[in-house]
Amino acid sequence: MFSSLWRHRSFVLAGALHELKQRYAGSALGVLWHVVTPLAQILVYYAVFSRFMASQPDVPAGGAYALFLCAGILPWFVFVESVSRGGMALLANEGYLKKLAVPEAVFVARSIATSTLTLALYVLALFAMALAAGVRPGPGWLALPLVLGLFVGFCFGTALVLSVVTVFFRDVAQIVALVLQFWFWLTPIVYHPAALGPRLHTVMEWNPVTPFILGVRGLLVEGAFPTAFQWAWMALWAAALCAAGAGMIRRLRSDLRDAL
Amino acid sequence: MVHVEGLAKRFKIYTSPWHRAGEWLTWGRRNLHTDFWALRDISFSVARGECFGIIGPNGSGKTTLLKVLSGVLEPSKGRFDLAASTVYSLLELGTGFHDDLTGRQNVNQSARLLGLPGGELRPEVVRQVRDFADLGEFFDRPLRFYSSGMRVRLGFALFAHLKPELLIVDEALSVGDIFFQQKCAARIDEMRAAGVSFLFVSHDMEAVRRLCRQALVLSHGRVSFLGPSEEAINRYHGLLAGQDPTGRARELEDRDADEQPGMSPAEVLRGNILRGESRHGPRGLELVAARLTDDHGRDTLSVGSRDVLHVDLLVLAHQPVALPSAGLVLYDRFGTMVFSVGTSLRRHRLPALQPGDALVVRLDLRVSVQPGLYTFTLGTAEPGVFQDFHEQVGPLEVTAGHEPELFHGLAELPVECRHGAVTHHWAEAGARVG
Repeated sequence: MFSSLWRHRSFVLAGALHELKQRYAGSALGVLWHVVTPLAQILVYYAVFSRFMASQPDVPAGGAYALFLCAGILPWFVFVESVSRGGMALLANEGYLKKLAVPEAVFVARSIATSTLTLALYVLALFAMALAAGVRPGPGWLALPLVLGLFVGFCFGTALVLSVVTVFFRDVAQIVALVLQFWFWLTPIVYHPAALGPRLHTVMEWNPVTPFILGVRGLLVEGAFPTAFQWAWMALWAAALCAAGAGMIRRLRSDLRDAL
Repeated sequence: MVHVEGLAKRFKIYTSPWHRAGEWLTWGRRNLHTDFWALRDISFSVARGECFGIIGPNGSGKTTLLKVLSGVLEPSKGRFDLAASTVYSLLELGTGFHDDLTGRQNVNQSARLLGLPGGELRPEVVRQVRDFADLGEFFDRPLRFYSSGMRVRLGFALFAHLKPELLIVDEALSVGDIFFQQKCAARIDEMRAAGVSFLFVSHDMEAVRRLCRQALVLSHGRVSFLGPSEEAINRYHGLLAGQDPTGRARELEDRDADEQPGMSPAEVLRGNILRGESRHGPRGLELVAARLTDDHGRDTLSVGSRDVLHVDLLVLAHQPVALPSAGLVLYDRFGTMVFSVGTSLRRHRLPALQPGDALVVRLDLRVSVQPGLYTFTLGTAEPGVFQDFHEQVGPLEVTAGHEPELFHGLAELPVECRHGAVTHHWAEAGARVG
């Protein structure tokens, strides 16, 4: 799978750039939908939670909470986009897959590449915010790309698995949208992990998105490196999902092409 | 080049997605689908530089076969081997095309989609594609402004210049104008000469006849015939008619030779119009001479529209020929076949010939076509084998004839005009409302 992705790298990259351009410059309101909408969402969370969370220990107040929130929610947006768009990648490119022998993963990779570009823009914005909030750049910032790389791998694997399943069971897209609603609240994005009771805390610990969110936030805001356990946990999730996705495609490719 | 052995394709038909889920959950131990075999036991080989035709009625599995061979679908049984590093399939010209991109951008994007070794097309290849597609300034305009013909031109131009070793073509060339089609055909010949093999699926029997030496007839997913394309086309027509062509052949009746003035070999030789310039075939049954005469027995290359032209063909056997046949093809100035007929097609059985036997065959042809210039192909054949074909005979000039124009279009079909009695005051009676 990875060699075929490498062979199609220029298609993946050019496609991602094209889609990004399409999003931000394609329509008169493109900027509105892709910048203002998430911004509005962040503002709402900020308005609501900066009050509640101010009483919490370990959660900064005021402008620092905005940074805390953004460092969690921007990667989460990327995850949501990867899962919802990447999960539909095969179905959306049915036209190609019905007629060309192009490897399936290429279309998922293209979608994830677009999300990765978005992630890169978000991270640049986060750096700016951190500097504005008075955070000193530290060695943690240099380790950030590693966490983000694992995060992209995790997003790709998840999207790969979902995109295959979606071809056979088209309702999966709706189910995923529903699950994401709950998932958001089980991930320490607007709150600090310490805010949860013991039972929910266990759920949150098993939540594969958690280590990535904590990792990014730790490195960026607190200058804290993930523990060895967290590194292993992130690498494991990323590798497991990519392997699962690749395995599913290998095993189900024949049925997949027939079902399209 | 291409070697296919025992290939079969099965589709699993699920009546509900839950059935598939059930199979997954039991790890395939429960079987909740029904099988549909779209292809069974397909075997054939194609040599380098050969154009191989795949024909068959709708739903016979042609496209499925091409999809399997181009790697879009996976075979359920059997194997195939394409000894080519670059295989492109024109399953649909311009599949990768995007409406918002210009022709040039689309060419580049398609190249990337196909994962070309270099990733990008070299500028001189893009230039070749542009020149071949001949779209003028449209090459740098978004595809949304293209006509369907222009898209096809761009698509074919691209694939024809990607330097494939095997090109899989599905119906693609039946669109576009005549000049571009002729250009495509010429390019295909050029590529074949350079060693490119073709798998060619078409309903256009003329194209198959012209391009392919060998062809496969598919029927209900099985090979119903594999052999020379001419014979394959006959079988295909037989399938369409729902009859076995070999069965029909037995119904042929011997008809008496009718000796008419002017039908001696010497007279045909005297008025011979064959120049022997563009000639094909093994000539076991040689077409020695051909003569065109009008109703008054005069040699002519000009005839009025709807008048009868007598076409005399002098054939000479160099080998025993059990079922000889002679015929003609009429082409208009665009190279479009207007009409083709032969004695075997008309169920007129010619006598069996021994080596050294000569025979004059006369076709009385009512030239019910539009005035203009036409050319002939005249030839002889045995079942399944062309023997001696003379192309580009003529030109024959069809003049306006004696009567004013009686039809429009390429050729006149038998037609009768009739009408019923007038119903008076029909509209007022409210008949249409009721």
